[in-house]
Amino acid sequence: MPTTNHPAATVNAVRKVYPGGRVALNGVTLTIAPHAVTAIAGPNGSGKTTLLKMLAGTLPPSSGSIEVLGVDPASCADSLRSRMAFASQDIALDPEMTGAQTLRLFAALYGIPRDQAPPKVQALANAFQLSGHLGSRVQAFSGGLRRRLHLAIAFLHDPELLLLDEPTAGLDPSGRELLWGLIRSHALRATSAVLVTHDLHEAERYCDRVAILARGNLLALGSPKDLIRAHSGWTVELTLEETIAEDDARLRALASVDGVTALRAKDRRVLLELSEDRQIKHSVLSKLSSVGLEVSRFRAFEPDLAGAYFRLTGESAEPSPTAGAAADRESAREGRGRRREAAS
Amino acid sequence: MKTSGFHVAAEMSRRTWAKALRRPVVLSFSLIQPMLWMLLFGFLFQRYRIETGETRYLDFLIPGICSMTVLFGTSQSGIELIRDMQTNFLGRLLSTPASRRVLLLGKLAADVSRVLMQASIVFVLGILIGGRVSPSISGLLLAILALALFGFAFASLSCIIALLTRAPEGMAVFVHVVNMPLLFTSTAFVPSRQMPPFLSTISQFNPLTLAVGALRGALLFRQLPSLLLCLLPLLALALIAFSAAAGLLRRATFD
Repeated sequence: MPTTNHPAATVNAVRKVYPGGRVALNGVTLTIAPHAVTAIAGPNGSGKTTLLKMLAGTLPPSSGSIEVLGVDPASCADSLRSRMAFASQDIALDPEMTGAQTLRLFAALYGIPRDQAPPKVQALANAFQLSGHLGSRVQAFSGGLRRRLHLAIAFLHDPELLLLDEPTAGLDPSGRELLWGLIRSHALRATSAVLVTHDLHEAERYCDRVAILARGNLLALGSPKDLIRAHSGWTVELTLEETIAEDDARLRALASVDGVTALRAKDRRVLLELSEDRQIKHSVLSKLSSVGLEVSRFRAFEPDLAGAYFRLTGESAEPSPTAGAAADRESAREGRGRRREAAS
Repeated sequence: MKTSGFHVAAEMSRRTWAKALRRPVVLSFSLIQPMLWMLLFGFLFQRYRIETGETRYLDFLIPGICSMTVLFGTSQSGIELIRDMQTNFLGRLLSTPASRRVLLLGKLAADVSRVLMQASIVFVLGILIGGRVSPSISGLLLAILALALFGFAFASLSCIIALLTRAPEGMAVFVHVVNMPLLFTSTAFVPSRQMPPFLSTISQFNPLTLAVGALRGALLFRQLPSLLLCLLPLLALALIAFSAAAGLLRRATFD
């Protein structure tokens, strides 16, 4: 059992090059805090799943070293299997087995004694709200139920370290709440959890630490609060009465307002990124009025993890000149970040 | 928590059996096929002079068909492994602390016990259609042991092919390239003395011939299968094939 002084895992200068030369991880160094929930976030192809598989011991690094629960996962895989659990992004279940058969089989495989297995399975089924489905075959389960059963297996033996790859994918909002509650309650009972997620809102709300990867590099690691403080700011979204070109002089005037760090425009929509000072938006409003731009809608978003993510990964801080890419970023912001809109 | 080998093997066997019972069509076809062979070959070769001594051809054929049932049944063993690979379930099983050797042992125990039951049904049906076979209890038990060892060896071999090819097509090739030549170079249908000399020599080293010989001795002639000539080679084959399959599974990595 890791103590507060011993990290759940350490990753030291790890590099992973796949056959064909693709660099998945490029000298990543990080420490996974014990008894905490750590999220790994990053764009597709940034190396998140590669890192998780390396922690699980299923993928060796090309160079560098990894220590999980005090041992090398590659050479001590057998001993680690009883101490940790890895739930892949792809659901790994036998569609012909029932839910009860699946959990009973894995209870045996994880060494849970015969007499303790039935209450353990029942408790877990209750926790994951699977009780009413245990007698049904997995092939009759909905996608969400399958995901719950897939994840429930990982919790069977109360592992010291939980490794979950996109655990909330396919879960409905209540399923997500349920899962996060279970992960948090296990963290309180001395389990460390590392999970890959694209949901920055949930990472901010439920995770103790967040690591942000891009193109195989670790960009930042810290508590959501620290990351937001260091890398995020206010964002203002304007909907104008008229369509405006990105090189319009009135927009340039708006971009010159002290505290505006970036500006993008597409059709009638204008996005402004501000430094942390909330008062800047009043200056923006004044400038809008002075340059004669009429606004039909004004929305301001608080600094959040999504903002930090976009600035760190470069998707927001260095806007692409193409309108398509800007639209992609905006939809990503809305879909993934669900940023908090401030009263304005 | 330390895993109990017996508990793990029992649960894997239970799972394998439960899945087999859910496919009654496959189970019944694997019984119909040997029955068809028994009837077809029985009627076909009755018209020709097969030198089986005092033994009627149908009686001679029953042990051969029982062994064939085990050969065909166990050669499908790897298909289940491939299904488990395709659903990522095998990787999940292997991510647990349970011994991979024990996981395989539990699965193979279920596969072998299932084909032994099928062979027993074929044996009874053979008697019902006119076979005259009256083995001693000890002979029957040794015949079952010989078939079990043979089945264990071929189920392991099937798993080796599955782990090496990781594709259902590989299993189809295995069934056609290995099973058929093995069947027709054995003494399952024809005694070796009626084979061409080269085939007769090959048949002596054919493991199916060993199993068929053990069964004929035990079931027809009330001769206990020779430990040295039949059971030990089958035991060695079973141990070698299982060790190779378990070694492959131990080294296998799955996402």
